[in-house]
Amino acid sequence: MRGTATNALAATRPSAGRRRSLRLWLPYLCLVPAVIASCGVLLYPTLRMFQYSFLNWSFGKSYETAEWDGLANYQWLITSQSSTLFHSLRLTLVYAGTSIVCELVLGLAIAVLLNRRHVFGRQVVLTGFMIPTLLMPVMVGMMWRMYMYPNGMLSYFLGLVGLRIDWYTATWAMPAVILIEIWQFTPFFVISLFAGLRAISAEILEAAAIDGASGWYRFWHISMPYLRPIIVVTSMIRVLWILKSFDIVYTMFTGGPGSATEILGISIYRALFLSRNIGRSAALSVILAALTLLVTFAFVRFAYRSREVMESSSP
Amino acid sequence: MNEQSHPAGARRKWRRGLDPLVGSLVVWIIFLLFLAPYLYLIVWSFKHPGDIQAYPPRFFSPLTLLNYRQVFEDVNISFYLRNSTIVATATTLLSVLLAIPAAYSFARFRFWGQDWLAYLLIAIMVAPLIALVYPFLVMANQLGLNDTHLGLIFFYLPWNVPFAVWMLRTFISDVPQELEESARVDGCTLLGAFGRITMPLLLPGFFTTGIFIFIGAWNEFVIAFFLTSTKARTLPTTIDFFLTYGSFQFAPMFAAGVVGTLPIAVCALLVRRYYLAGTTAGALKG
Repeated sequence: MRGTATNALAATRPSAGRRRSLRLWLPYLCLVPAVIASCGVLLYPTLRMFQYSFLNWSFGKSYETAEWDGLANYQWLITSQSSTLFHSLRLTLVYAGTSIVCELVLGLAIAVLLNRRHVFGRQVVLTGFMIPTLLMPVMVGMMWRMYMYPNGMLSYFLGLVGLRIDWYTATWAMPAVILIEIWQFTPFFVISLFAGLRAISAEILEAAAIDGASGWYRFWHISMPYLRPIIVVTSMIRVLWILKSFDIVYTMFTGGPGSATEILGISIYRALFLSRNIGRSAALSVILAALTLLVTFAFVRFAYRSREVMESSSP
Repeated sequence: MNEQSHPAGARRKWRRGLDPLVGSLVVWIIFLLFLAPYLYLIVWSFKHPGDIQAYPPRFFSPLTLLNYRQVFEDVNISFYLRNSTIVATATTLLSVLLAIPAAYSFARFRFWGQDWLAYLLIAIMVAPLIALVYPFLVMANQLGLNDTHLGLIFFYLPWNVPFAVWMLRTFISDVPQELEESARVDGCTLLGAFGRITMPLLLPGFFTTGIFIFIGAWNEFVIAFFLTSTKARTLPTTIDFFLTYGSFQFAPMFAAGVVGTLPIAVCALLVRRYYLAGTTAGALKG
């Protein structure tokens, strides 16, 4: 962590041994409220989740009669024909891959446009772009649900250009979710990439221009290398968001039609409230938690390494 | 942010005059396209229920407050607004308050195991909400917290306290330590130096962190959905109920959507300078 120098503050006043031991313990004492509020609340449910994942337990069966089943739940998830685990993982991969690539390309293009010399109302545009990402996900889902109905706004405008898409089919449900995702989070890329572009010193670009470098050359060989860490960090954040997404898909399709939009979060919900199998749902939860931890670990490692770049680029 | 001058290079003079206009126009068209779905929601919430579902859409029809009256009188949305406000405000205040000492510790002290404790906090923050719903349900029933404000606040803390620690740590680090040290030399206690010197400088930091926590708690759906039914139900769940129970009602939902999202749009204006810092740290939040 960044912690400046030593415990200089506590050391300014020299005194007896009790004070010295306080100085030693103070950093830890300060952590107590936060650790109790977070670990204290989460520890018990997390341990329970692990325990449930080893039980043969479903609704209608009392907890006392649920028997220890070893890794049977995990084995079922991996081997059974009716398990949706790999389907969900594949969906999540497609979901994350497609939406992040589209968001990145669109976001970069818009950020570059915004970074031109004279853009009328730049600050207004940047602030406005923050709205979609902060909107209530449930409301975003509802909103688009209404627009994507056969007599909704989106269908009307698509109809004007001769497109008729029925979003509520197995083929189009996932593209619909991805489209909403792109709408909501392209602005996030725009804002972070714009901040990155701003941080590139004008002198370097100017010098390159004087040396005769074309606009494209300057973009690919000066701006892009600089933006790379920002692109990686922003994409990783999006992967984390997508891994734990639930609200929008739930309000739009509840995982359907069939299992066309059954991402991991929805699988957990369905295992719990449709199959009514607490054990399997817990096993899925453990898998999701492990995946999230893995991505987070990579994220923290990377963000830590490129921190200087990130910090110098905040607007 | 001030204007950054890019060299025009070999661009011709006549193009230089046209460039800003065309560039701005393109940016604004894209911008309005992105904002259109939300603007549409706002405008359509003022239309007559009959006009809302009309196909093709009626762009110029008389406006009315009918939907808002229905939402406030029949659906009694003010009750759910009140619940959301209570839960989000309490979560915000408690999280920031509980996080201050830890954030101070991380920012100012160097101690054994610091990095690992920071990782632990992040690991807690990323725990996916949906994964823990059932254990939470069991726990809430045992503690009698089901369908209470306290229950929601209690289960929001583990995600928001680490987030607040993370945010405040940076804000505290930005206040020069020398300021506190000189206060100490002048005879202030550690607490006094923090309270009198650093605290006032941290107000923007508290405000920003608080707004982000407020937005998160206001928008939170998963826990609220499974842990509340009638007494403590918040707005997101209520909006979902327009769909689940009874027929699907467009008109009041448009109005409810505007009521539920307008505070957040205002919040976006308030935190725009810190948007990146907040969303980057907030991304980790389950």
